[in-house]
Amino acid sequence: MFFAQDKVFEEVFCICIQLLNKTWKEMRATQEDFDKVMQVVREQITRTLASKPTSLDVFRNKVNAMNYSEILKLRQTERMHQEETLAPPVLELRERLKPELMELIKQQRLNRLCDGTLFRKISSRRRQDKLWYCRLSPNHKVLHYGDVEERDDNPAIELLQEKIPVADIKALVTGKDCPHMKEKSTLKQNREVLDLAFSVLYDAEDYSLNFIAPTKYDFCLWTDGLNVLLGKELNSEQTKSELEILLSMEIKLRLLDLENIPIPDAAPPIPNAPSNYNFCYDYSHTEH
Amino acid sequence: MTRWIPSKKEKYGVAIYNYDSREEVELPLQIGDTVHILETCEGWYRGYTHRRKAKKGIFPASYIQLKEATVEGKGQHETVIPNELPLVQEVTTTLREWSSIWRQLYVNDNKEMFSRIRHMMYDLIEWRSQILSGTLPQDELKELKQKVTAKIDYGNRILDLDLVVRDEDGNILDPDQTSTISLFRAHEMALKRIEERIEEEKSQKHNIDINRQAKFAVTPSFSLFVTLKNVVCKIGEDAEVLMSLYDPIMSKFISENYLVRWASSGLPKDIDRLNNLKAVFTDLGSKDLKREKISFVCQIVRVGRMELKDNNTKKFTTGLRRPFGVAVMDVTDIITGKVDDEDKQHFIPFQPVAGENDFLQTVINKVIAAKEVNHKGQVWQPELQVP
Repeated sequence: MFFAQDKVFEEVFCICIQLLNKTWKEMRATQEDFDKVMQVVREQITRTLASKPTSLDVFRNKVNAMNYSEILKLRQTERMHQEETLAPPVLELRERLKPELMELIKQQRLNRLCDGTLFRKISSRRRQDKLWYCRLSPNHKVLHYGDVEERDDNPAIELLQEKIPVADIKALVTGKDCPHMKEKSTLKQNREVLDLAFSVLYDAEDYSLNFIAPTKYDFCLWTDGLNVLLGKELNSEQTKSELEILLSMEIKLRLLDLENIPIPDAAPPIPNAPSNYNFCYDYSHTEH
Repeated sequence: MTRWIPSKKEKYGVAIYNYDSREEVELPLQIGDTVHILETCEGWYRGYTHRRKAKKGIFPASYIQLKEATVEGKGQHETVIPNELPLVQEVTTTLREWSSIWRQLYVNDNKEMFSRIRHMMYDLIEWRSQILSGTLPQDELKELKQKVTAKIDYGNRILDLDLVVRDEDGNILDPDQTSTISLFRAHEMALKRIEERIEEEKSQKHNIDINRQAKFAVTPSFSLFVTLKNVVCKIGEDAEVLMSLYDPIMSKFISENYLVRWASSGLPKDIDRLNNLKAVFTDLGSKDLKREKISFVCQIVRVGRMELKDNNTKKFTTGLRRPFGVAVMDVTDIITGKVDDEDKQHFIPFQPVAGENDFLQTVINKVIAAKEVNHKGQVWQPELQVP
């Protein structure tokens, strides 16, 4: 492009001055924004040159196409990319924050279990399925359940006749391992039910309480909650996505003060320990 | 050996890397922590993080990026305020305040507020970055500031937090410098503005109705375009097919009939118009659209003998119009625009008259009332569109 003309510099200059005017109008700039406009124009020119235009006309067209809104969009995508390519210290911070946020999720699951859910009983006969309700006691020690007549969304604990102390619960099984699912063959229509079935085994595996969750969300909620009570890890998909949401927001908030500051790739060097610890200010009376 | 001296110019900074303390006297840092620096010696700082003000310790200077700040107070009890745009600072503190409430919303399973606040927080973070990048011209900056303050005020309101009273530029009013009366007036105005915003958001939930009403306001009359594709029905004689719109609640027809003559061979009499049987029911006004139910009714009238079973060819009476049957379809959804129905073909089941003395009207009523029509495989095939 540069060697095809005589007065290359003047031509490029003309194109760029026109670009400056156009960008000035697009940005609705005033006198004090001169630097900002120059920055934008510099970006426009450098980006267009980076794509190696073959002639001045191509250069002119490209540079005019890259108007202010394009620049804004590019800046925004770059900002988002910056956040995604996480530097090592940020990844470290993520790992450290995970346990704290896991605690929140566990709390939420137990709260939902205390609210309880309405379940259906599977019956071999195709008539109206019976409904039963199950909820955890407020002190997390007993699981109450019982039959309910109509669609009662919040029966009081006293109405639920049966109960299982949480301490007696031995294990939680899901899917095919459930006692009430063992007879069912893996037909396609049963697959859905299999995905929503879980059982609580208690009293040395003699007894089991069989559930069929109304939705996948309830299934995740209950299996997570029961795992919390059993002291096991939560591993449902809901947990993973919720953890991700909480974690990314927390990281964003932590990095708020690091705006426009580059993060080094490697840990900065640690100087030798100072020769003395005679501090000026004495805070020993305030520290504990 | 150098002494620890109180830092003069280095007062405030932010940690750019995680620092794990190895000794008791060292302060562990997490990336992004802001620190207040008290004294310095040999490349180490002594201070505390704003997250945990009580614990003081030393940390390497290389882990800190210094920032501009103003210092208030002296000596042991000085406090540090970073030198940023007041709006940016407000956004930062608001975000941190909201985040603890947001977590509580999660634990209490308040899904709707949780996701609303989440989106608002993300918007605020994005706008804050834009302001801090320093690349926005003045006009845009002003607009953005207004957007930010509106969002903050709205969020504070729906989270039941304190109302922040601002002046026209969006700066927080200083109670020491404004008179009580102007403070009160500003307070009133701010409340009103936020109430309006909340009303707007609530009405956006009934968005469909408003959109529809707006649509109706613009076009005062509508039309329904019907194409009749086929009548699959064993009649045995010539017939007339009448199509019209009917209001079942008020039990009356609201349009004229579209008549198609159908030959006994099973094709329309006018063979050239075989694929061209179209009609437009025009001039449907807003009153029609407000009707609870609108049905599209096709009546078939057999033209010919008195009774179909009559086989005595000599004693024919011809040209008599006898009711044959009815096909009814509920088009309320199509007319009100809820169902987008371009190019969709409908099959309407057909209900014949019960006996020779039955009126078509009663059959219509029966079909409308019945939920399941026993149609014995005879169908209509029109195609409906509302432009």
